[in-house]
Amino acid sequence: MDCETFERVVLDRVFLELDELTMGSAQRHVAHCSRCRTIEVGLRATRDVCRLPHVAPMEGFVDCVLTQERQIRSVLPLRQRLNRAVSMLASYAMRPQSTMAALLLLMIGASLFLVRTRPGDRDLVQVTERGVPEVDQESSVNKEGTAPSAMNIGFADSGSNAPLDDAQGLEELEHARSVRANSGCFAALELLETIRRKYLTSDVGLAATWDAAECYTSLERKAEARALFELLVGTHKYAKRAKAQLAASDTR
Amino acid sequence: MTRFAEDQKQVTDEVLMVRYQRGRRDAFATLVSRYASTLFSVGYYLLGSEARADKLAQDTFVQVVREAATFNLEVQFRSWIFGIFHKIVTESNSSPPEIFDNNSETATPTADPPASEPAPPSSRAFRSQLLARRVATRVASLPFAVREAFLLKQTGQLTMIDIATAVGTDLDTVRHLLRTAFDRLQESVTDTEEYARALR
Repeated sequence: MDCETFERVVLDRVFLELDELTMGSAQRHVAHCSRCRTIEVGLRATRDVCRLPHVAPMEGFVDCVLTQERQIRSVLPLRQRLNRAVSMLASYAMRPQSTMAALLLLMIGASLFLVRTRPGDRDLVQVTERGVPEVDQESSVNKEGTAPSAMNIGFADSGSNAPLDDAQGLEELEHARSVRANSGCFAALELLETIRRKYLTSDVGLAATWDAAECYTSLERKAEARALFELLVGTHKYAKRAKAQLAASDTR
Repeated sequence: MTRFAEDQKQVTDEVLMVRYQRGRRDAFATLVSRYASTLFSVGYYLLGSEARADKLAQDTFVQVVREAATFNLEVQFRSWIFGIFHKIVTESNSSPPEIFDNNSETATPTADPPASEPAPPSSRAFRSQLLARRVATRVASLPFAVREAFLLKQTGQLTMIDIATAVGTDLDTVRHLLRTAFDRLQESVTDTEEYARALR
């Protein structure tokens, strides 16, 4: 370090604001430069001697400042108040307990929102052999409760989407179907016919009619089968399928 | 004293300021207590009037309240508050100060050190009072920028970098201002016993 550089940083050295490297370099310089050493010593002495005593502010100064502060903060603009409120809330939110509590509430809220209904609360859905929900296809109900007739076998209510309301009939139909599945059409036919007659105007009755017709077909009792398919042609739900069955039986 | 109040005493200025930003007014009260005397002293020796120093210090704190939201931890609080102080004093001193002639070497200052207990003549305390008076007189005669840099360093206890930040200049300028101040003050104290003692 030369004298010019030393003079530039001498005050930093006097006030101990030099980095270690430059401090060492300056130290080596003053060790062999008496002129710079004299300057430094003089500045240190001036630093120590020229200290002005602190002056205490007037009495009540702090109270006066705090009063002004209160007044200013009472009329802070909305934005600053909002910022302050957010800042305060954020400081609380940063606490682990608050965070955990917030997470817990979030989880409870989410579980209430996404909770699934119990299986028993759902509508019963019957599935046909082809995997199609039966209710969708056969949900027509005879709303007017018209008297059964051979040609009007629930046909008046074709197109009705009312759900099956005859739980007992449905149960019986299920039983008949299970008999058909396990013991064959011969055993189930009588049950299906009973249901068909009993619930003639309802969806259950139509479904039993369809099943009975199928059973007659499989048992080669074509006349009975045809009679039932012809009945079903008059319905909205089964018309297409019944016609197809009739057409198939004509070709056989 | 409560544990909370004791805690406030130990934390840094920056932490207190952040607490104040979050609505803790007691933190601001602590900051006022810490800086009241320093700001008032710098203002007093800078302007040469107790009344003006009082107003300057109050205005500075008021501005701190107004600008509290802008404070961030990247700057030293000391540097930040003296930056506000500098801004106010510069704005209020756009015309030459009433008391001091900035360029006059012979200006008569009124910013004497505060009158303390009268010391008996020839005692060390008495000599110290005389020396302080002499230094204050010499400081008052310095040009405004030099005087301000000197007071921020010696009374405000700012580092040179903090002074540069506070007054919005570069480090070399601060070095130059301080060197000017120290050279001139040195001339006026070389004949004192205290200076001779300090040289040893």
